[in-house]
Amino acid sequence: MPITRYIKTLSPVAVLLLILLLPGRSLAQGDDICFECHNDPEMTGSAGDTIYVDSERYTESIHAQAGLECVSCHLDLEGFEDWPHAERLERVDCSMCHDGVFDMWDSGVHGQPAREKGDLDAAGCADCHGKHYILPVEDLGSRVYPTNQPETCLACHGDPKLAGKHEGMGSSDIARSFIESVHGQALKKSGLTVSATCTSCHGAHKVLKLNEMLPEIPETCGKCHAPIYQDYVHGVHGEAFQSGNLDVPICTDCHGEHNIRSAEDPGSDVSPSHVSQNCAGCHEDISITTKYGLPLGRLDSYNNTYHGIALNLGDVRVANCASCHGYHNIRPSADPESMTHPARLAETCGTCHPNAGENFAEGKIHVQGNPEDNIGAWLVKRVYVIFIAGLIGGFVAYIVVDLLAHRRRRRAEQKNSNDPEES
Amino acid sequence: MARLNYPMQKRLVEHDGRLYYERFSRAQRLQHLGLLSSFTLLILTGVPLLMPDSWIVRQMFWFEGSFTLRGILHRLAAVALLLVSIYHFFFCLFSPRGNRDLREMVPSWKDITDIFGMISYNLGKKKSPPRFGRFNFTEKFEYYAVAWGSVLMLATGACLWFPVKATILFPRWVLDIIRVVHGFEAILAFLAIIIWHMYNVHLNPEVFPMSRIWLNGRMELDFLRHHHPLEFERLMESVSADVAEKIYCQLGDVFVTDTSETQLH
Repeated sequence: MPITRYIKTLSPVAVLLLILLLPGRSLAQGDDICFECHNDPEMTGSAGDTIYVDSERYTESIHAQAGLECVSCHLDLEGFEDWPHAERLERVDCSMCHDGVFDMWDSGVHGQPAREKGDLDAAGCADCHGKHYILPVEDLGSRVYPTNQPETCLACHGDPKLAGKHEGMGSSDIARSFIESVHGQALKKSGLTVSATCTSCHGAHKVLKLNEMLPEIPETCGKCHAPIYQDYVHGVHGEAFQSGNLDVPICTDCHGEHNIRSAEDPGSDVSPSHVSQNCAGCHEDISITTKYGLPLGRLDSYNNTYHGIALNLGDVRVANCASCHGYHNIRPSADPESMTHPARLAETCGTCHPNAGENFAEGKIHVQGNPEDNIGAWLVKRVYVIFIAGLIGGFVAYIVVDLLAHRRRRRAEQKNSNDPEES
Repeated sequence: MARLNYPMQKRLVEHDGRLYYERFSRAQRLQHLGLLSSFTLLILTGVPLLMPDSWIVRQMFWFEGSFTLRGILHRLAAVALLLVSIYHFFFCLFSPRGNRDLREMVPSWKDITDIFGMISYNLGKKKSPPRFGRFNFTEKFEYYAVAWGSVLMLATGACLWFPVKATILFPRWVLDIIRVVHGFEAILAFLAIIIWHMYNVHLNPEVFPMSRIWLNGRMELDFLRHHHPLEFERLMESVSADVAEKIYCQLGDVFVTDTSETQLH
C-alpha cells in the first residue's frame, strides 16, 4: 500500500514533529517574511509568471503541518536577508528527507530518463505530488489519493502529444480507456478506493517497464483477486505460466489491461458474445496449435452447433467456451477435476439443462462433420443430399417437360384456328 | 375403418347462378390456411439456422432478443402445426367428407401408370392425357409428402425442443443425427413447396397466375371435366336428369338433351 510505504520512508524527525505540532499549527515564524511577497496573487516575476503561493493552502499541507519552513526545502535561502532573492532558486531536492522513495523513483521508468538523458518530461516528485500544497496520501484532496490518481497520471499519459514523443509511454487512448474500465468506473462512479488504480498495478515510485512487469501480472492481479489467482495457477494456463511458458494467456491476454470491462458488459472481450473469439486468438492460431499439439477446428465446430449459431445471432444465454470449459480454472479433459472430464460432463451440461443425465453427454461435442465424429449424422446427411438432389432434379425435369408440352399444344391450337381451311 | 357416406351431389355448389364443383370444403380450406401459415412461419424462423453466416440472416436479427423471439415463434408455429395435424387426423376419420377424401387419397397401381402416361403425353408420344379421378398422382404425392414431413418434423422437433427428456430414451449423439434430419427435411419441404407446389398452383399455365380454389373451394366444372374426368363422370352419374341438363347447358352443350348420347371432347 502506498500509505504504509509513505509512512515508512518519512524521516523520523518529521514524524516526531508531526506528533508534537499537529493540532492548530499556524505559519512558522520564519515563513512570514516569505509570504509578505508570495501571498500576493498579483505579484509576478520579471517574465510575468506568478510567484503566488497561497499561504492558507500551504498551511494545510503535510509539510507545513509537520513544522517545516519554506527554507527547509529552499535551502539556498537559509539565512538569506538581502531581499528580494534571485529569481532562479536551486531545484528542491526531496531526497534530502525521502531518500528511500527517491531511490525507487530513480530506478523506475520515470527516474531513468531523467537521470540518463536529462529528460525533464519524465515525471518527477512534484509532477505527481504537487509542490507547496502536498497533502497526506490518505487525504481525499491528495493528488495521489486512489480516486485522484488516474487524473494525475493522465495529465501526461493521456496527452497524445507527449505520448507520441516518448515510445515507452504507449498510446494515450489506451491509457485514457482506464477511465471507462471496470476499475476506473469503480473509482470514479462508486468511489471504491479499494479498486485498482494506476499505482496498484504499476507501482508508485518504482514504475516498471512493460517487459519487466509482464511476468508479475498474474500475481499483481492476484493481490486483490486472490481466489481467482488460485484458480488460475491450478488451471492448465496458470500451471504452464508458472513453469516459465510465455505462450499461455495471462490475465491481461483475455481481460485487456487498462480497458478491462466486466464480463457482463457486452463490450468486454470476455463477454459471452466475444469470449469465443478471444479463445480462438490462440486456439485457432496454427503456430500455437502445432507447437502444443492442440486439437484443431474448435471454433468452427462450436459455430456449427446450435449454441454457436444462436450466440452468433445474438442469443447470449447459450453456452460459450467458458460455460463448459470454465475460465480461470480451465483444465484438460483428462484431469478428473476438469469440467469437461467425461465423468463430470453431465454435471456441466446440467448447469444449463437441469436434470441432464449421463445420456445427455454421450457423444462427441466438437463435431466437424467427419464420418468418425458421428457416422450416423454423416450417413444421414449424404443420403439426404442425394435424395434432395434427385427429387428436385426430377421436379424440375417434369416441370420443364410439362411447360414445353403446354407451349407445343398452344401453338398447335393457334395454327388450327389461323388456318381453318386446312383442318 | 368405418366408411362414412358422403353423397356425390353434395359436391355441387351454386354461386351467383352458376354451378361449381366444391373441391375443398370450408373445413378443408381452414386446414390448408392453418398449414400454410404455420409452415411459412416455421420456415422463416427455422431456415436461418441452416445458413447463419449469410448476410440476409444477419439482417433478420437486428434487435436485441430477436433470436429468442425466433425460438418462441418457431415453437408456437410448431404447436399450431400439431393442432392442425391432430384436427386433420380426426377430420379424416370421423367426418364423412374427410373420410371420403382420405379413401380417394389411397394410392393405387393406376397412379404409377398415370405417371408414365402423363410423361408420354407431355413428350407427345400419346394423343390424350391419363384420365384422373378426384386426386391425380401429383396431388397424392404432395399430400403424402406433407403428411410424412409433418410427422417427421413434429417428432424430431419435439426431441430438439426437449433434449433432456429425449436423452432419457437415447444418447445425445442420436440427437445430433435428429438435428441433421430436422434440417435436411426442412430443406426438402421448403424446396418441394417452392418448386413443386408453387408450380402446380401458381405458375402452371392452366391456373396462372393463381388457382383460387384454396380461397373459395370452387372448381369450374369445365376444369373438372378436363383435369379430373373420372370424378366428373361420377358426378354426372349421381345427379338427377334436370341437374345434369343444367350442367351441360352451363358447359355449352345446350343442344344435347339426351345425356346418354353426349360426347365429351
